[in-house]
Amino acid sequence: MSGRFRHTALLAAALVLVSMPPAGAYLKLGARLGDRLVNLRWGAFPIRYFVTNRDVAGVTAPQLQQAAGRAFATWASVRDVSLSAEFVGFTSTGPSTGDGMNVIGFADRPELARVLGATSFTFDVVSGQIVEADIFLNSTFPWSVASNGESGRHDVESIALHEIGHLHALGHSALGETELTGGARRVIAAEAVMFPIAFPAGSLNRALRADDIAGISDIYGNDRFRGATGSIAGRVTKNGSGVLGAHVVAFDPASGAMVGGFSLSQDGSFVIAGLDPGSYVVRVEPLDDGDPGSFLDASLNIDLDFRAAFYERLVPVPRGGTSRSIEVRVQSK
Amino acid sequence: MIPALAALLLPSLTVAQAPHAGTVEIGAGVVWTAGYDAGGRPATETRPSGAPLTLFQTDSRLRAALGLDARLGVYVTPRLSVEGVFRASRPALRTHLSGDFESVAAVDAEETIGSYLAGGSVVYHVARRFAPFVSAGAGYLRQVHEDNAGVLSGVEVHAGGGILHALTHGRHPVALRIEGQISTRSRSVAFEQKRRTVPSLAFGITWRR
Repeated sequence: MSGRFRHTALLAAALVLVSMPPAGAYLKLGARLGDRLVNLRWGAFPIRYFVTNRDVAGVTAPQLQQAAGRAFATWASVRDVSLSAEFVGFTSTGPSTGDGMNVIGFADRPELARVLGATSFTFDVVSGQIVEADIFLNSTFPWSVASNGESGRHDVESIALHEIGHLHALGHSALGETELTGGARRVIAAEAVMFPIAFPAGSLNRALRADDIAGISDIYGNDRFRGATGSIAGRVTKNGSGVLGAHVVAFDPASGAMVGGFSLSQDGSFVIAGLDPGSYVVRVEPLDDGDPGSFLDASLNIDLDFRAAFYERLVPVPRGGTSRSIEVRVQSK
Repeated sequence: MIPALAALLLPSLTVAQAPHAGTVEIGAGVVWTAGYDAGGRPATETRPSGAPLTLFQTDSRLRAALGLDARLGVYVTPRLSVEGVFRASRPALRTHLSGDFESVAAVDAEETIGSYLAGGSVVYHVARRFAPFVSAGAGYLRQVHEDNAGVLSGVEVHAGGGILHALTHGRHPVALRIEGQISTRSRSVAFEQKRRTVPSLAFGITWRR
């Protein structure tokens, strides 16, 4: 790393983001550096991490470490990826960037009144390799490690699972529905741990869904994964022009699995990888207009002015390959 | 239309020259294969309570289709023949999408499936005067998704019966063959795998030598 420019980015939160990340948050996290997009990933495992030796009401530092360990293990249990993490020890250091340590801990962030937790990175802008990541859980909120959850308190393991997804370089998923109540977004339902708005206090969200598994496998999947799964590629268009920032969902009627992706360029092109072979239903919708910046770089000209639509054909996904390119035409609202 | 045609032909059924051991029968025609329920499932997300929220509903069906039927039979006795059969068709797998959470209008999404069946039957010709027959056998079913994106194969077992109506006489008679069949399949293109029973009706011409 010596001699190479380092860039840090604050990314991701379990609740609505307040501070905008300087890097775009995609299904796979990346940073746009000039004309170049650098995808983040860890280059070596295990990820060695420390836990801040600080208790908060209801949760001790060892309990935080145990919950984080379970969350790491959940990600590591995904088939055909080789993730591992190693707890090094407790530290008096807080979860801040630039110290060369990966630290998970509670931090007082009262100014982030709607952020339960966040993950920050230091990475090599040439290779995209992550060299340091830190996760803070906002001690402003009440926390719990109760196995069945605790009313009025946020579940440490659930939020850690989301943040450790970021730590592995996963961006946010848009597989969820929200409603605006009292000036804040409330989640109605979600089908991804990586959905950016957390379930209410007292709820648990400790199981990875198909979207999470496809995302982590797309980054770290082995050859067997590449050979056993396929992808859907295509474009989202409106009046003949590409739609930027459309949320594209592939649904497998055989398994019930749903995996989402985004059209990430001006021509509206998208790719959804990590799909089991089969015939898929494809549905396109605009991002939640309440906070599109939770998903994509807020500086992008994301198109929210179109109606949700189904693609009028089933899309067969081949094993180890990509579907024929499809074009999903949408109409203005 | 086919049953009506069969009814018209029945009164004029005539006897072809009797086959004997070693007689070969070649046939070709069209086959109508019934559709079947291919499964239904909602696309759901999980509420904080753990209960599902339905985003939309899918209900799928493999539609009935016309295809080609070819067969080659050999009589082992005057009443008993064995035949190899090949059938090909291109049914549509149709998924009805409805009940969208954001009120997207219901639509049907389709995919064309290439369906190929290779099998064999034992055919017993019940009485030569009316030339009816019964048959039973088994086959290998291979169904291919669009763009050869995936292949599903399985075993089918079938039974049925029909009639042969001689159109010409002599040493190499030509006959009209109508056959109804029930096929039960261990695997077939669908979103829900289970054994399915599929009727079919074949209509063709045979030539005996």
